[in-house]
Amino acid sequence: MAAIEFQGVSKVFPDGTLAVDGLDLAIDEGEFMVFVGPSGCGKTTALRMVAGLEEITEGEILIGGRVVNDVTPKDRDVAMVFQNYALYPHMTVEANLAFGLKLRGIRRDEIRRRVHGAAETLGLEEQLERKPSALSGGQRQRVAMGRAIVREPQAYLMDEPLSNLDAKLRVQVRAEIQSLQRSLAVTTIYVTHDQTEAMTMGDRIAVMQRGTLQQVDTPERVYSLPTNRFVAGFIGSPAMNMVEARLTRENGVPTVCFGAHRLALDDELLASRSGLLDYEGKTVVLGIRPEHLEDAAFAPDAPPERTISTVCALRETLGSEVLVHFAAVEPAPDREVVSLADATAFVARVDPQTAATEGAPLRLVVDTRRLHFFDPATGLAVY
Amino acid sequence: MSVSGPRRAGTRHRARRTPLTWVRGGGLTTVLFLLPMLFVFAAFSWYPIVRTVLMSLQHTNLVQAPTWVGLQNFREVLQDPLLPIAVKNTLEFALLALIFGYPIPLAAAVLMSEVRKRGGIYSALAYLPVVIPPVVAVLLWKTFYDASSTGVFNSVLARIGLGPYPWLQSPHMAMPSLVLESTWANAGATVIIYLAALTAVNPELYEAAAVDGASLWRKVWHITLPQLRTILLVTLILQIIATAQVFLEPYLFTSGGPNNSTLTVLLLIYNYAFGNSLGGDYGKATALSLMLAVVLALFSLAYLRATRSWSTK
Amino acid sequence: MRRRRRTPTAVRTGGLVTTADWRRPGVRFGLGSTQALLLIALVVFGLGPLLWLAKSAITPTNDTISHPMAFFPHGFAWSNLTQAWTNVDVGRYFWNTIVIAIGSWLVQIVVATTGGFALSVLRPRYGGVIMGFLYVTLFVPVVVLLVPLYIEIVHPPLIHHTFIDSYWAIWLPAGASAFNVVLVKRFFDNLPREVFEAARIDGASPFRLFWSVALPMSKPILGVVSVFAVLASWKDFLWPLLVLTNPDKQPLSVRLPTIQSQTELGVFLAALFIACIVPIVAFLVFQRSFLRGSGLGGAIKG
Repeated sequence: MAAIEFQGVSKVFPDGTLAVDGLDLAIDEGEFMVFVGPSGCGKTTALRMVAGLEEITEGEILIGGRVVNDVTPKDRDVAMVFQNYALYPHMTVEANLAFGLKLRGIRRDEIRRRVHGAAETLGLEEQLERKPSALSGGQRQRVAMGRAIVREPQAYLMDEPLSNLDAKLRVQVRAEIQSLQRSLAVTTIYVTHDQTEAMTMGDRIAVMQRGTLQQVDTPERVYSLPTNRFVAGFIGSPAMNMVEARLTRENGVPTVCFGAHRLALDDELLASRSGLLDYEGKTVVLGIRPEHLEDAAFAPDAPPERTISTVCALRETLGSEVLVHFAAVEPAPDREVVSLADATAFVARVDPQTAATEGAPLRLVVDTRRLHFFDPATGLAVY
Repeated sequence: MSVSGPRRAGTRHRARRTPLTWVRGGGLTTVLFLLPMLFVFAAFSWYPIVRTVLMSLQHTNLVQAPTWVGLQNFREVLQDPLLPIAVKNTLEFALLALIFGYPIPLAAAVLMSEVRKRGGIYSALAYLPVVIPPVVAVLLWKTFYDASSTGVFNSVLARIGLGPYPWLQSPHMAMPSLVLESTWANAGATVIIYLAALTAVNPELYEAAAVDGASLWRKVWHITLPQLRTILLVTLILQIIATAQVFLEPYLFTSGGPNNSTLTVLLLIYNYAFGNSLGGDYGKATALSLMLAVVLALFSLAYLRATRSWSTK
Repeated sequence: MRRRRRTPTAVRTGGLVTTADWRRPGVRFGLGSTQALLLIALVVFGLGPLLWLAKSAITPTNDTISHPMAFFPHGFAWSNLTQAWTNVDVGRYFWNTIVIAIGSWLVQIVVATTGGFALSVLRPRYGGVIMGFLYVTLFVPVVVLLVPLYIEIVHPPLIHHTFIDSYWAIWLPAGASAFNVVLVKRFFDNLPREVFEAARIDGASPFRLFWSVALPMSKPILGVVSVFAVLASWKDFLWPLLVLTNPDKQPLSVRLPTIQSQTELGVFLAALFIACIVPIVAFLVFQRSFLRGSGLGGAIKG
C-alpha cells in the first residue's frame, strides 16, 4: 500500500484552461481521501493525473514514493472506478473482471480465485455470465468496483461512482464502499461533488475550488474550523448563513451587529478567535450555521443578548426537522420588499415541534460559541 | 488544519519531448496503425492526383521517359471538334437526368413517408434497382431497347398502337433512352435519402400547422419543402456532379453513337487513353480529366456560395 | 440470449397527414389511391424489369425474341441457366467476382479500422492534417485518378513487375476510400472514452485496445462498411475492364458484354440473372444496413 503525494502539481489544458493550480497534498497509506468541490474545481482532473489519463503540466505526483509523471497508466498499479462504469459491453461480467489480470499475465487459477472472491464480496456471483447491458445500474456499479478490487492495486481511484445511482441506492452503496475500504485498507482517492458523501466517507476531505486546494482536514475540523468563506459555505447543508456585520463593543462586551440584531460574543468564542480583536469597529462577514439557531421557545433561559427577534417568512416542514427562513437584514423601510431575495435571507434549522408560522413573529436563540467570522476582502476565516 | 501553501521550489517537472519520449508515449504504435491507410492512400490516391497534373503537361508513352510539352495537351483537347459535342451531350444528359431524376423521387418519398403500414416494402422496391450491378441494368435495358418490332418495349407499345421506335439507333432518341435507364437504376437511392430526411422532420411542426388550419398542400409547401431545403440542395449538386461524369451508359449502350450523339466527356477521356482509334494519348486524357475536375470544382464553389444564403442553417 | 428481431425497415408516418385527415373520405380516397398507384408504379417499373429478366432467363431464346412479353408459351428452358454456368463459363466469372469482392472487402476493412482507430482513439497531433488530406480525396472526381492509376499498375514505380492481370491491382486501390475511414472514425468518436481509459488502466497496450475493445464494439459500423464494400466491388466495371486483360480472370461485370455476342439471347439473359442474384439476396437480407447507410447517416437532419 502506498502513499500518494502531489507536489506543486498543475494542469493546463491545450486550450489554456488552468484546471489544477499548484496542488500540494500528501495522502497516507490506507487513507480514504475525498476530493470535494463544485463542478469545474479540478478534482476529477487531479484524480485523472494520478491515474495517468492526463499529462501533468507542472509538478510531480508520487505513488509509493516513486515519481510517476512519465509512467504509463498500466504500470502505476492503480485501479479506477469511473462515474459511468466504463464496462466492456461485449464481455461478460467475469471477462470484465478478468481482463486486467489477463493482460498482466496472471495465472488462470489465480485469476479465477480473485474474480470469484470479488464477486462474492460484491454479491455478483449470479451475474458472472451476463453482459453489462443485462444488469441494473447498481449491479454495473458493483462490477466496476469489482474490476478495481481484483487488481489488488496500490490505490483505488473513484470518480463520482455514486452519482448515477438513485438516492436510496446511493445511501446503501455508500455504506458498502466504506466498509469495503476499511476491510481492505487500500489507499483511496474518492472524488465527489456531494458534500454529504464527503463528510460521511472520508478520513480526510480536500476541498477544492477553481483548481486550488482550499482546505484539507478531517471532516469534523473542516466543518467546525473552515479556512475561508468558500469552504464554510460549501460544507454543511443547508449552507451556512452569511451576512455583513460590524464588530463593536457595547458596555464593554464585544458585540456583533447585523441589520437590527445584536449578538454578544461569548468568552469561549473570543478565546478561540483572538484575531477578532483586530476587527473591532470594522465590518466583518458573520457566518451562522442553520443548526446553530433554535426556536427560543425551546431554550427559555437564553439571555437576550443571544436572541434575535424576527418574522418567519417561510416554513419548510421536513418531518425530522423544520427549516425556517427569515430576513436577517430588513431592507430600508422605503424600499418595497418584493421577495425574500431582497433581504439577506437566513435559514434556521429548528426543533420539529416548533410553533413557528409564516408571517408570525419568531424569536431565535443563537449558539454564540459557534459563530464564524470572515474577512470581507479576502474571505479568509478569522481565528 | 492545512491550507495549500506556496509552491515548493525545485519541483518543476516539465516533460521534455524527445524522440525517445515520443516512442515511449506510443507514437510509434500510432504510426504503425496508420501505415495501412497511409500506404494505400499515398500509392493509390494522392500520388495519382499529383501525377495527373504532371501528365497533363507531358507526353507519355510507355516505352520512353515522358517529355514535357507544356500546355500542348490542353490546346489539342480544346481544338478537338469532338469536345464541344461531348460537352453538349454531357449537359444534355445531366439536364434530362435532372428533370426526371430529381422531382419524381421527391414526390415518391413524400408519398412513401405517409404510408401507414408495411412501409418497408416501398423502400425495398424503390431501392432494388440500385442494388443491381450497373452492367446488368444496362445490358438488360439494351435488350428492351431492341429496335425491331419484337423488341420488348416495341412490342409493349405496339399493343397500344405506338411505335416501333428505333431507340438506341436514332441520334435523337439515344440520349433520352440512356437517361431513362439511368433514372431507373439510380432514382431509388435518392428516394431513400429523401425518406430519411423526411422522417427527420419534427412532426410537431405539422401538428402546429394542422391546428392553425393548414391544408395538406400548404403543409407540404410551407413545412416539408423548407425543412428539406438543405438536403435538396445537396442532392442536386451531387446529382449534377455524378451525371457530368457518366460513362457506363454511353459506353455500353451505344459506344458514343449513333453519330456521336451519346459521346460524353468521360467517354472522350476514355477514348483518348484507351480507345482503339485514338488511344494511348495519356496526355490529352489527363488534360481533359483535369479540366473537367476544375470545372466541377468551380461549379461546386459557385453553387455553395449561391445557396449559402438560401439554406436553413 | 436475446433474439434478433427481423423487421423490415418500417417507415414512420411523417406526421404530414394526421389521423384526423385520414378520417376525411376525400383525403382517404385521394391520398390512398395515390399511394396505391405509387405501389403499383413501383412494382411495375421497379420490379417489372427484374421479373422479366427472371422469366426470360428460363424461357427459350426463340420465345424471348419473337414474343418477349408472352408467358412461357412453349414451356421452360432451364438449360439456359446451366448452359450459362458451364458453357459460357459464367460459373468461373462468378467465382472471380467473389474472389475480387472478398479481397477488396478485406483491404477496406483493414485500412478503415486501423486508420479510424488511430485517428479517433490514439489521436496523434498530426491527425487533423491527415483528415484534411482524406477529405480532399473525397472531393476529387474519380476520373482524375484513372489514367495515372492505370499507368502505375502497368509500370509501378520502384518495382519492376507489372500488376496487370493481378487481383492486387483491384484489391489495394479499393482500400483508398476516405468515405470508409471517415465513417469508422466517426463511429469510434462516438464510443464512450471511458471504456478505453478503463482498458488503459487495466493495462491494455494500443494493440490490445484495438483488438479486444475497439473492434468488438464496432460491429455495427463494420456491417455497413462491409455491405457497401462488397456491393461496390460487385458493381465495379471500368477498373477491372482496364486492369484485367486475361478473360479467365475477369469478373462478371466485365465479361457480360462480351458474352452477349458469344451466345444466344436466352443463355445471355440467364447469365445476367445469375449476376444479379448475390446483390439482390444480400440486399433482402441486410436491408437495414443498406438503407441506414444510404440515408447519408441522417447526417443532414433538418
